[in-house]
Amino acid sequence: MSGEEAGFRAGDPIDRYLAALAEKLAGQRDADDLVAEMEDHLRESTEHLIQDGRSLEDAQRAAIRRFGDPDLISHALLAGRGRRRLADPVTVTRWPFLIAELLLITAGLALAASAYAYWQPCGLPVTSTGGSQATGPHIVTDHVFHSFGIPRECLGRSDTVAAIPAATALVSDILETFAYAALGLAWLIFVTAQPWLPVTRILAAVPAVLSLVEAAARTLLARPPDGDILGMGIVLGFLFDRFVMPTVLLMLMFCLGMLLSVLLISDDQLSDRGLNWPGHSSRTRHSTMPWGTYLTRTYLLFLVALAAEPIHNWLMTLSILGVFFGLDEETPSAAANYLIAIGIAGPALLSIVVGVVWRRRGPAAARSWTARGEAITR
Amino acid sequence: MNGNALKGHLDLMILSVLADKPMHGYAVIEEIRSRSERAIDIPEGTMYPALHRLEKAGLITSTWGEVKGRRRRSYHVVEAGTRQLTVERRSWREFVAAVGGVTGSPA
Repeated sequence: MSGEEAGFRAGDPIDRYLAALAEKLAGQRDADDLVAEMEDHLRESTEHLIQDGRSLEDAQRAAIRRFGDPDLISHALLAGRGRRRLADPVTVTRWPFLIAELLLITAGLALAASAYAYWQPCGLPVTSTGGSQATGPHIVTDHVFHSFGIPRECLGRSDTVAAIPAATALVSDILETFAYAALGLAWLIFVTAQPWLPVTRILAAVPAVLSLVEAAARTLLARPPDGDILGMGIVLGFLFDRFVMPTVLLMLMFCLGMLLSVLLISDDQLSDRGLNWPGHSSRTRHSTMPWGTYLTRTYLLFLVALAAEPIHNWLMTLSILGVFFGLDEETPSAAANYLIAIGIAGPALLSIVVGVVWRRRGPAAARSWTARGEAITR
Repeated sequence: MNGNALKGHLDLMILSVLADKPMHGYAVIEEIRSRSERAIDIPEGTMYPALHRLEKAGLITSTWGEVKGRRRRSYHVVEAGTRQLTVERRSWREFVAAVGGVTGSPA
């Protein structure tokens, strides 16, 4: 007699028992196999009890009773596997967020100062350009220049540093390099402090490492133009400006959007997800939470990023295409600029939107993502 | 007979039952119940950690099949398990004899 023939239905006591067991086994590589094996046992036990004359529901409850408490069973199953259940309340430490925020503010000020040093000598109001120096491909068109009454000589600065006094360019470069380092360090601190799996932290740290590499490369390449005998500085500078810098910035923007998404979530929402800031109560809830479940829930925001990654890549591709379109022109075309703007702002905006939507959906969404999270965290 | 009384002997019973033919977990429990004339009754779920521990130790192995639309895992003893069973049986006989000698009720 199969389960269906016996009249089993979704949501019966055995289903609920198995769901409880699955939650406690979350994070185990063979969790599905374990649950399938237990289900086979419980269904067969039920069938035999029905044959002995019991009703379906009575048989199911008896089968569960004979099988044992899910806490006891899961504990026994997990014993000796090297993956312990979480004994202590889980805490997402706040200090990495605070340090990251401070570094981000510092980086932002440095970028603004860099942009000011870059544009101010030709009289361009910095506020009207939005720190274009820091955004790699410059989102400034000829039309914009004329609209704001900006001197024509400023136009050259959207493509070259040749028209800028060396001292000014150096100050701008130093500030920008500092900003890159601060951004990379901020993200690195944030990522390494998270209780994610090592592989996740490594992947999430890539933008930070790239940013730090960019800062290091800029420091190494910082030299007077006439000292660049072989022109390697110009070549490398070109490559960084056209490819590495936009890529790093795109990734950073995306990651910072993620960070903002995290910050948008309230303490209550974190608590509902099984997370908590220090000093907030939800200890009872956490004390029995299996490590796998906690890890999965911690992963949820990262999953958001993964889900958005294809869109991010698409936007980044558009951005790079935009750079190519505008490469040989004195100023990038309007279309190219729009593509660049979308490519740069899109991922961050997308992350913020996802974060806000995520916050509104709340714990139900967290639960619905759990299974997928477990699959990815394996 | 409760689980505590059986502690330490469950592996021997499982190996003994599986030595005859491959079985899935529920069948192993039923066989132990049957052979003990229902004197041995442990929480059924605790059988699986023991089965998995024996498999991890390389004494038994498992295969998956499908029965009645459900996935079913069956276990069978491998050569190392057979050797271990021989050792365990001898050890058990010695233990019973020793306890019997102390209590005055030799096996």
